[in-house]
Amino acid sequence: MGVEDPEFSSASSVAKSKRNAAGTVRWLIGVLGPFLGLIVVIGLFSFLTRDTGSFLTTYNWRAIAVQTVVVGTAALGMTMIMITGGIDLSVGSAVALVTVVVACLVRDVGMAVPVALICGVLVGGVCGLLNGGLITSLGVVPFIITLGGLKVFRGLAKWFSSSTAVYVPGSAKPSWFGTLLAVEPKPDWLIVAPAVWVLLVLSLFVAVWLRRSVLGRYFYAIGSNEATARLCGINVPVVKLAVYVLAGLFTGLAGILQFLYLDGTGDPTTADGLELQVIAAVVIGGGSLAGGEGTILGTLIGCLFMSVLNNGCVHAGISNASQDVMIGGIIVAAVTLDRLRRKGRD
Amino acid sequence: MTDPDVVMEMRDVAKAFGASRALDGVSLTLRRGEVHALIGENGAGKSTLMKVLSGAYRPDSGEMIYEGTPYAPKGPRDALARGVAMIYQELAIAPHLTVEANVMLGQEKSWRGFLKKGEHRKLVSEALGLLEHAEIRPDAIAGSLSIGACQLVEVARALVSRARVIVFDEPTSSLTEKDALKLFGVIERLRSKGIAIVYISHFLEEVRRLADRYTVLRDGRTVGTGLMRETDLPSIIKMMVGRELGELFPKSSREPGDVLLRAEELGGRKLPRRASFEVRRGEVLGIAGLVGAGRTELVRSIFGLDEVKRGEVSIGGTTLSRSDGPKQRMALGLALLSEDRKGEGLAVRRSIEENLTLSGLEKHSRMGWLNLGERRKSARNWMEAVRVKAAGPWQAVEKLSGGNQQKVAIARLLHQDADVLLLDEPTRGIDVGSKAEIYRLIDEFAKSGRAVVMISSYLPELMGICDRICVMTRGVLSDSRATSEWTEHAIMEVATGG
Repeated sequence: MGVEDPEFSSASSVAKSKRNAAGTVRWLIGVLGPFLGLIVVIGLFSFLTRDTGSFLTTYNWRAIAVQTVVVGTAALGMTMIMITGGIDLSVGSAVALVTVVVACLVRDVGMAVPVALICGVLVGGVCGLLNGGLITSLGVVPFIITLGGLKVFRGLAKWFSSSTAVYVPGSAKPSWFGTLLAVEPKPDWLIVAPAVWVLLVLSLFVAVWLRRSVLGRYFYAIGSNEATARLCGINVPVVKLAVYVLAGLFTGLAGILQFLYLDGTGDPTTADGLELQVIAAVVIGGGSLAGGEGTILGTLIGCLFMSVLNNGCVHAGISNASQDVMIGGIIVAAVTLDRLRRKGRD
Repeated sequence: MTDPDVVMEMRDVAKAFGASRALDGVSLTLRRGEVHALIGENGAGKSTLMKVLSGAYRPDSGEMIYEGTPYAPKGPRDALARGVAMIYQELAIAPHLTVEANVMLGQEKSWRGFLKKGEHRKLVSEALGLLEHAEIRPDAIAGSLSIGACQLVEVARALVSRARVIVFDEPTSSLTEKDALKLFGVIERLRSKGIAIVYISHFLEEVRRLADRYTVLRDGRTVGTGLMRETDLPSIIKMMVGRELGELFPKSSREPGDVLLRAEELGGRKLPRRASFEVRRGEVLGIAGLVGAGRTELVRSIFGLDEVKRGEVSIGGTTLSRSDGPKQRMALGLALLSEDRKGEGLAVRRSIEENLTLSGLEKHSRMGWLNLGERRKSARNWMEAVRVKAAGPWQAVEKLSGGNQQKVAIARLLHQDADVLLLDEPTRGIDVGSKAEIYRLIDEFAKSGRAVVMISSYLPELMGICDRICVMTRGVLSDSRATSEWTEHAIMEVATGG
């Protein structure tokens, strides 16, 4: 075989840079779509709150950033799962379970808070392992397995906590406890809460990893065409298991952030419906329920979109009932517009 | 084997699934730099044999020698690693990924889990260059490429894995004429690089043009092998079906009657641009043309599935309104056989009887309730009439061979009492035996005083069974001429731009 035939060496550098430019443009268009939606929503709420002016303040935007952290962290995992064509409905319940387990470990076992937090992340990983293990071994669709997880994890959280909130004693909280999610962080130059920076750094890492690693590429390949992935010798069950465990770890991280957000409370009823917010964020960011698509940047924009909606409705003084109707409508409209736009481009 | 030219030798390979013996002692010898045609009807064992070769199945008995050493791949991955690659009929492409990612899928070069993209790009460019298709860019999204280009991506995948045996399974069945010619060029180049190529195709003319040697399978056995240039097509067909085919194209004398379907200056949103024709009772009208010329769009707009912008359609003298959907048109006797059998033509997971009666359920129902016994009886009758080979009417359509699936799809049109059949590629991807039976059905249908409009890319069959033929070129339909006034060459000339 003469694959290394010199006459067929790679194309000239001019053509190469042109190609890269085309790729960049395509990527920009993909990302800008959700971004435009975000700008429209921001414009809308700025208009609705023009009298009070409470929406477009630095403080409020810092608050929005903090409110985005939990959804954003969970959405990193969900993005990976949805790229493989799967879904995880158990995220909200797993987050609640994590807060309860961490709180119980500190209050009842007397574990140091940092150790308990690490255990919390691992609990998320175990939830993912259960989901992924059942999906690959039973061959039942992720929707059903994780629907089961949604009930089971919530039930476990209630069981461990005897269905009441578990408060961590103030003496057990280390000094940094409240600062991680402080809306106005302590050295001023941080601008936003440390946890927001953690999310941003993690996102950057995951984004690069998805594009540049073998496993990341397998996620896209399985979501795009599972049969092809199998034919090309990819061990599909193992990769799927990996994605659920990885995503579970992110859910665990979201869980401990939620625990911090609740100021050290293990609440078995918290994060109810979080999974739907997360899924909406991924889809608004360009992800597809059919798999093969989705980017971390898009997902982050989607998360911000969701936070801005929730926050903006409060500032605009929209009643709770109208909020739900409005948010639902806007999600459907945003995703529909995005699909139409993409169809037009093809 | 001592012959250094022999790359792969399969001897007395057998494989059974339960009681049915899919392979019953097959032998196949592949030589370096040859195109070896593997011929046989559907169900003859070609696919099973190739699955054994590519590691998807393990044989029950027999031996395989690959480059002088025993060969028993553990799976497709293992076979690929040893140099045996398969180009699948249903394209094995991940549409969201780039060409580069698709070519390197499963054979990534990496450092600590991270991809070496530079090396990837180089390997992919080299492989595509070797195929003389450097115009396919490594960072193009595979889903945006034509089917032909996707196939080349698969071939590039095989090249990067340094395959020495490449199996092509029905590679041209969904290609345009132009892409098929490109593919033949690629195969020539692979052959000149010393790669052994197994070529499976129902298009015997194509096989004859391309292959150096052939092996014919029937009922899981090798029934013949030899040099292509020393054999003629009729004797190959005879080996395939085990009998003289006699009249492959039955054509009884038919007298054209009244005009049954007429289209005048028909134009759609994009395609067709302009099409006029009429077909009379007792006639079979053929529509030739390249894939993408607008033939499918023409029959779809006649059937009310695609929007009509200009022109008129009338059935038996009744002029149709543009807002009439398939339901109204079916009531007037129109019926359409989709070119996309699995995607559109049939609900493949449902049973034969459900599929067969779906468009005529009102016949077996009263006040919305189905008479299941009557439906089954009717399904049985039609299965017999079109000779569907199946365990029974309850069997899922996906369990049938392509030919039998197509017979079910046609039986559905007959069951709904159609007067005009619009058949879009009715014999694509099915075996010769089933083809012959479909030709017989078409002939009988026309003989009973009804009419058929048939689209086909396979010219010999159009020439064989149509009374008149017109040609679609870039959305414009030519006037029809009697088949006797056409030659294959003349049709191709009109089709390719005339």
